[in-house]
Amino acid sequence: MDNNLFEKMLSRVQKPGRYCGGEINSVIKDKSKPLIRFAFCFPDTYEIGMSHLGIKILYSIFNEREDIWCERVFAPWGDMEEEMRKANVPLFALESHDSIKDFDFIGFTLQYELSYTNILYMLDLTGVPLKSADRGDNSPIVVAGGPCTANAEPLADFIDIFFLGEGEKVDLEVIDLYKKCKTEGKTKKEFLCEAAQIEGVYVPSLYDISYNDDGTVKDIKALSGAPEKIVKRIETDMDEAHYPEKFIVPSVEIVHDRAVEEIFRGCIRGCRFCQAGYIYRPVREKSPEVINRQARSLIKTTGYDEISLSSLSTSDYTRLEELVTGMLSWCEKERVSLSLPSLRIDNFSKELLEKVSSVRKSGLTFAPEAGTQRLRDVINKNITEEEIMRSCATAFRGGYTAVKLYFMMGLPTETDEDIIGIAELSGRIVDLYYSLPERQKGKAVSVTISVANFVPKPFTPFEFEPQISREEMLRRQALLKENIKSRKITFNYHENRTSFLEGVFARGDRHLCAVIEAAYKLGCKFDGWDECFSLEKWLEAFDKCGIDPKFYTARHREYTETMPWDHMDYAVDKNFLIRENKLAHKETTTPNCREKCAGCGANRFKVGVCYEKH
Amino acid sequence: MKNIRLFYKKTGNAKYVSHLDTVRFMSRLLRRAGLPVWYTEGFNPHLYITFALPLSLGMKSEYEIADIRLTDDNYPCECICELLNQNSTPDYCFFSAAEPEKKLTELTFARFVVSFQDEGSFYGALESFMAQKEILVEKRTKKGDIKLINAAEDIIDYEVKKDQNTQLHITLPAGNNKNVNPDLIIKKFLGKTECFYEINRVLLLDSDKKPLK
Repeated sequence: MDNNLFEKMLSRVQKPGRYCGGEINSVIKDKSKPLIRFAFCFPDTYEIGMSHLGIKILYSIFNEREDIWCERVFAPWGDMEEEMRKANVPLFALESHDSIKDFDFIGFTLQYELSYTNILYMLDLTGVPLKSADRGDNSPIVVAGGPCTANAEPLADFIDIFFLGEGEKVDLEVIDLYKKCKTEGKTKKEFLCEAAQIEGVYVPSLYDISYNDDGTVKDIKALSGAPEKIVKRIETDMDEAHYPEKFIVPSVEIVHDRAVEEIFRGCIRGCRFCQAGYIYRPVREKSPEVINRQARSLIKTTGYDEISLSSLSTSDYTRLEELVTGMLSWCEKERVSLSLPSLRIDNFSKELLEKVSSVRKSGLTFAPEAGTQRLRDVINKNITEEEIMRSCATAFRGGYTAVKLYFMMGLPTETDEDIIGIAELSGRIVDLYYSLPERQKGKAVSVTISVANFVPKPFTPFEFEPQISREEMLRRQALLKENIKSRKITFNYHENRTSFLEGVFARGDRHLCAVIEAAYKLGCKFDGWDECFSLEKWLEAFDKCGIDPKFYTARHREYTETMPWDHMDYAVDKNFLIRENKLAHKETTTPNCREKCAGCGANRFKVGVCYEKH
Repeated sequence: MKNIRLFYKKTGNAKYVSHLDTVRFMSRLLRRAGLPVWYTEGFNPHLYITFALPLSLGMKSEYEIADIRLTDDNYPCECICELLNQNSTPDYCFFSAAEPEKKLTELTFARFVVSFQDEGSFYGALESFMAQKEILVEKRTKKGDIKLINAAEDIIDYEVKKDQNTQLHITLPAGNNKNVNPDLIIKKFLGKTECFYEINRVLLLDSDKKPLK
């Protein structure tokens, strides 16, 4: 792009630093050499996308290869879009400022359903046809990966290739195949057929979906030799898995502006509402030695003064004490603060608390998820009120005066009693604080409760469950508000219009492709942003396409129903999900993976927690 | 403990980095470079760094100043720039590191070069605009309200030049006591005329109009 034009555009937009590139540790390659050009697109703003760990890992893997140049692309905010359209500047990559229209690959990461319109927005800004079928042999191959590929059917028309599971190896295998097909002069169609043979690759155009009269899926047929079931990919040895030595250090502040060290993948808990707890199975840990080494390298190459350990449940790391002790030995000296997010209430120890707070005392967050023991048993959140109280007491005695509690609303079998239970539990935590003689003198306690709206997700035992309506959600929120008596309690909740849409797409099918396109054409984008989201436009889009969104949310699904994602294999057997669903309705819990194998099916990978010696 | 004054240029993409983000950039840069920097000793110790004068978003600069402290009194100044440049991007280029000669509070003036992309067409108009006795501009006070000031009285010196494009070289009060942003004058001059221009802060000066060192 012409530099003068670029500067003119930047001089007229908010936060121009988002569009510049050139940050510390970003990778520039020599364009005169033959390179596979890969545009790694995050369908949200720079600040959000740059906080994502997956992009950092894949950016590093791709760019380590001499024949690939992977660059970053984020969704431009409205003011920049206006400038780009006015100046006829197509979407460009941050590193080279080249238009990504001529790249070999455009890759999207699908982190949340509400970013779907932004994918269309970014393809549109690039100037390529939105639909896979309309993109010819010379268009970039559009690929996508991330948690939403668990059911990517609502995007099936737009994406050429989906990657299931962890992308470290499969992405490169596809790129290598692409290079081979290119030299052999093969067509896009031929390349896609061959790619479908690679494990973990889902080519949606090679599957024919038929429907029953009631709108449910009748049959899923694989074409052109594509596999009946697409099995997700995983890294089998986390110590050997690629981890970046460097992170790009953003020049404008991002949401999570710190070094991040991944300590394990998967989660042993099996909370029945949590998709991540199922699709990332089995649990695979990195050893403390490797974590320490990688963390030190990140601190050295970025200059960050904060490092956060990343996993789905930090306190379930088997050698946590050893790890934290080892890390603190250098963190303190180098003035690095260590943060441990995702601590569980039940195994939260005083020693750990003291260790973490020796660097910096930040707020404490716990997630009881439900207000009563009965409902906690339904969702398999295996913690008791006693454990919650004990952990809060530990925190209060340790000098903390603020706790944040996460809950969910709209869970299966939830009654008014469960909602009132949230208020009562929070009230008892306030009382607990004032009953402790060791509390911080003269300081008031603050209990913040954040209530999220439950959205049933595929590959969880609740994939069969209806999602409660918006009206009912509002009633329950009001009920909770009424029952909060203490002024020490702050109640945060979401408007539920977006949860409704999230629910539609989470368990949606290919009929929704038309809705997404219609919504985009009506001006929907950045749906995750309150100031941009318009439910009215979305409802208009559903209406235009003759689709009732409640079909996807309000309906109870039979165990025998063919789900739109039934050809995806995340190594979690459907029979296991059915078993767990039945147990939920019997208010019976399932022990975690380390206590007892529940037979989910993830042991077929022959690694991780399934083969740990207990 | 030893005070060190860092002199650097902030150009290229860095002109789109705000002052607050620059502070973060510098702290991380100092940590990457591994200099024995001094940390404050308060409740929340942080890396000590202080800047002579924030630079507005969109401006570039050839003479920026940041003061740090080193815990090692014998640390050689000569290798600081090289170490920092190795760990920086080309957009922040360090050209000197030395013990300060004057206090940062002695900063009194700043010199700017404004380059218009006008093919030279503004030359005459800018000359007569600058020669006025009164240039009323709207200035936002620290309290947030808007005040009319006569910027002509504040201009220390100026020169209108022309090569292919028109350039304004101007010296204005800078620092804590009085600070005038050249952008106010340029905006007033341009009015509704659209023209791309770039402001380059070329020097920070002390009360004797000598480069602040």
